[in-house]
Amino acid sequence: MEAKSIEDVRELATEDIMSPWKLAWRRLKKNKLAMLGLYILAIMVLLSVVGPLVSPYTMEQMDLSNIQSPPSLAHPMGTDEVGRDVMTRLFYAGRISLSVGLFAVVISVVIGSVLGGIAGYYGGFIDSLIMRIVDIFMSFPFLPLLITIAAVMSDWKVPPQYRMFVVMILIGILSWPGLARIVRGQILSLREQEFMQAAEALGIRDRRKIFRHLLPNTYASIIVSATLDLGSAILTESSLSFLGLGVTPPTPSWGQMVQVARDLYTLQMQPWLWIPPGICIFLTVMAINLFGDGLRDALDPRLKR
Amino acid sequence: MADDLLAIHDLRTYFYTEDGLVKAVDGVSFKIKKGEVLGVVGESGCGKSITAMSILKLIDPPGKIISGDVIFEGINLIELKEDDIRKIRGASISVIFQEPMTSLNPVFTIGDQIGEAIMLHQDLDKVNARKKAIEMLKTVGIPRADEVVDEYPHELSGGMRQRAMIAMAISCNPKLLIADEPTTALDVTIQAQILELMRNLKNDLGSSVMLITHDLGVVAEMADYVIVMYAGKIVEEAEVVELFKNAKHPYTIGLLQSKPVIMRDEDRLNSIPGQVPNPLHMPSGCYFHPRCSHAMDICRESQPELKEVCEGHKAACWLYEGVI
Amino acid sequence: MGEVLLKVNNLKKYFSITAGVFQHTVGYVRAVDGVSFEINKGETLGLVGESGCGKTTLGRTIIRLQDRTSGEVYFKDKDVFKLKREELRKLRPKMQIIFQDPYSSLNPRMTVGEIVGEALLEHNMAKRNELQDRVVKALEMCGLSSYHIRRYPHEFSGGQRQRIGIARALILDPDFIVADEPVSALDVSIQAQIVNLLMDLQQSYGFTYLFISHDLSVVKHISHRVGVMYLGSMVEMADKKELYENPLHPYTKALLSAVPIPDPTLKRERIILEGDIPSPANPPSGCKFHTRCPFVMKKCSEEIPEYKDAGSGHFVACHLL
Ligand SMILES: Nc1ncnc2c1ncn2[C@@H]1O[C@H](COP(=O)(O)OP(=O)(O)OP(=O)(O)O)[C@@H](O)[C@H]1O
Ligand SMILES: Nc1ncnc2c1ncn2[C@@H]1O[C@H](COP(=O)(O)OP(=O)(O)O)[C@@H](O)[C@H]1O
Ligand code: SF4
Ligand code: SF4
Ligand SMILES: [Mg+2]
Ligand SMILES: [Mg+2]
Repeated sequence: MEAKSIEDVRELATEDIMSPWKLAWRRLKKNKLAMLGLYILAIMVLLSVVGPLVSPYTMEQMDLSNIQSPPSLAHPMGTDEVGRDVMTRLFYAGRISLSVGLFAVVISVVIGSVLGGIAGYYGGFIDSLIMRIVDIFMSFPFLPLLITIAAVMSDWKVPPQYRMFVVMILIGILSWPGLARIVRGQILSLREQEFMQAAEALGIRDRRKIFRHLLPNTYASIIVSATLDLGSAILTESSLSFLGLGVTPPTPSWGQMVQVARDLYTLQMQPWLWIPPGICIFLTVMAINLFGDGLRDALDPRLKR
Repeated sequence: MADDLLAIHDLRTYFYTEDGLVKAVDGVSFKIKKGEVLGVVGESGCGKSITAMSILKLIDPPGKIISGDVIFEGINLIELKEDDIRKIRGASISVIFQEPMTSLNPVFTIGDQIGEAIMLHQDLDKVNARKKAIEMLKTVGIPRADEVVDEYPHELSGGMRQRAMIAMAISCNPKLLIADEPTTALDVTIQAQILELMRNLKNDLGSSVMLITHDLGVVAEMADYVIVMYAGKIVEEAEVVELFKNAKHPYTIGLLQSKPVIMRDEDRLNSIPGQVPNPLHMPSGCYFHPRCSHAMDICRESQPELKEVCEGHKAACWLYEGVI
Repeated sequence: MGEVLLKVNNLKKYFSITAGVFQHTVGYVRAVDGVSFEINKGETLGLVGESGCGKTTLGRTIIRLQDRTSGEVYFKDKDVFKLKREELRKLRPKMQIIFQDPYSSLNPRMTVGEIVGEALLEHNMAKRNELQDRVVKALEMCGLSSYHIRRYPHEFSGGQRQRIGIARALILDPDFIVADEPVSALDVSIQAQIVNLLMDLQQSYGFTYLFISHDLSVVKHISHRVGVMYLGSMVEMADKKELYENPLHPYTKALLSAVPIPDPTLKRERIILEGDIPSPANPPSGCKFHTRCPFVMKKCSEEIPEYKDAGSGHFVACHLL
């Protein structure tokens, strides 16, 4: 038998085991922009989670003696028209905006990857059927539908905390088709890979082929596209709330807080009310996109050394 | 020397990759005489293509030519400006690549592409350039040349595409033709056609050829002089007969023995153990020592130089230290 | 001659060419077009031919990785295409395949240990606690080491990956292995390692191989018998020595003479064929080789030459004989 090269063995033995995930993380760490995105995102999450706990005010606490006051030591971002602390509301709004985005994406990932996976694996009629549904969803007039639903909800007097869930679910349901397409495409091309032929030749059962061979190879692209979707979900929520169709007062969300800028006086004279939430939206979405793009590069399926 | 067409001296081309420094070509020197076919052999990744690309300064970042001279007809190409070297590319020196599909532009017809190359370097108008293109296609043995001239690359088979590439490459009577694995992507019978064509053209045009390949058989058939590369360095060079009959470097010997020969019967192939070193973690001393059965202490410590080991035959190996 | 392990009878595999929005069939690629042969236990049958002549398709169809168009394949006297799904799955370990591309043939998200060992568990051929030992043994037989078991494919070179692919096949103790260009993607110095490994394993375990390659020298080295394919048909098959010393079919002759020989002092008569390989979607009539054959006669374009024994098991399909 061939003498194996002792050198290679030694080299490999002393090196760390590089799982594909570890490798991706190492590449990601080298990408400065992506890491910047990650840090900003982490700060945003941290502030939203911890901020309200350490703040001396609560979200609803009004101070009628101190309304519409500009930033001061007591209220670093000023107060609003009923004297609530803007900074505290900003933290709460972050919780809402981030979780609306997150849940919407979870919904979209679950629907999208299951349907995309089924379409790609079984092909034929099932594939055609699912892809036609995708086409229908993709050509749906998004905004008019939301406006209608918002109007209906106002009519039925749906309480604000439930409206938030409706928004999550709606965004999720409307954004799965893109993901389904990606997963389907991935599965289609994976099925042609020789390692799937090898699995067949080894007599591996279907269940294991799907869950152990196919799916893990799609995680990377699902994560990337979910991350980027998270950005757009947050943006969508903000736009809807800004238009008064999403999260409604008294529950704050970033988009809903910017809404105050719709009157010229606030826009000009009370920038502390709308600039901070605006910046939050901008920074978060920007950070998510930077991070997502970095992830895409780091998880490049062509695993080079 | 008067009969040297190209002389390369201590060429170094490095890649500054994310993972570290890759010394793709590391101190390579050689000459190509007028009318000579120089064979360059070595395994994938040993720096054959990068050497060829460096001659024409076709190295993109993160790659960089660190040092070296490439003297072509008395001019140092490395010092030329982009505009000046462009006049040499495709005219005095032209290149044929391994994968003809990627080097032909899919949206232009064969005639357009050959015609453009001709007009760029010769004083011909469109009509005459086209005539010349058809003539060139006939020279390389393409049947129906006057129809093929209006076809797109994807309409041709691999062999035909490679012929079209050759037609384009020789359309300006280059003094040096660099052929980078010109037949690797082709079938044996088509390879035989292309090699035959290249042999005839070389004799007719009298150009020099730098033939890059990993196939020792192709080298034996085509080359006059052979260079063997390993891990970015030349490890052995000699005239073709001398090299095949009297190989000196353990790597060359291993390479020759590891390929079964159709005319011989061997019981067992003599393989070289281990694998090509990782360019990011080159071994110390002689790069070949982890795989060499003759490795000595000195091999692990310092790198042998390429020296004459007998007349007209150079090798870089400590076994031959002090032989001459 | 030994016992017949695999018998292929007039096997055809056509791929339909579809066009238009409705994907209707407009023609067929005759990838394998009526091929018959036998492989004996313990032998290596080499299969050569130029790209697109149907070698891979033949190799994959005889172990039923894809369906046939017509014809039969008997593996140990069982008709492979008559087996039910679960019966076929149970038979799988006995018929293995090694792939050409050492990159796409290993799942990038699985460790080497899992890749090599999973089939043992799927077929209850090993208990969980003995799995690791079995895998290590298989890896060691292929010149890898137990260190490698927890690593991922991307950490290995092409040659090492090919060894993993071989370990994955041999751990199941197969009777028959299709080796589809197992060395074509490797460097010359690594090719010899893999060829030697395959030959050593055959010696130790009595494997039977169908060794597919376009490299006539490698096939000559490793095979006992060799078959030559052209455009989906077998044109010649004989014992190695006989085929290489006394080729009868004009195509085989041209193919052999086209192989470059690493000996610059040797000058040979060379047959340079005219033209390109025709498309298998639209093969020439009669003898498929007649468009390039230097000995073509009138009859050749009209009648299909019979594939017959020209004496002592040397099969050939040509009107010259
Ligand atoms: N764009 C690049 N970026 C980084 N490294 C590179 C690049 N191009 C080439 N290299 C490295 O340079 C070395 C020499 O490459 P080169 O392409 O010359 O090899 P070769 O001998 O022609 O191989 P092959 O037969 O595979 O074409 C290799 O180690 C390769 O990985
Ligand atoms: N899935 C497929 N669909 C259509 N044509 C195919 C398919 N697989 C192979 N072919 C065709 O069948 C012929 C034989 O292919 P193959 O067996 O892969 O050749 P080889 O292995 O000898 O290179 C080729 O013309 C190829 O294009
Ligand atoms: S220098 Fe030493 S290790 Fe290198 S080839 Fe010569 S004998 Fe072998
Ligand atoms: S049958 Fe005719 S065309 Fe075919 S190989 Fe024989 S002589 Fe040539
Ligand atoms: Mg190259
Ligand atoms: Mg093939």
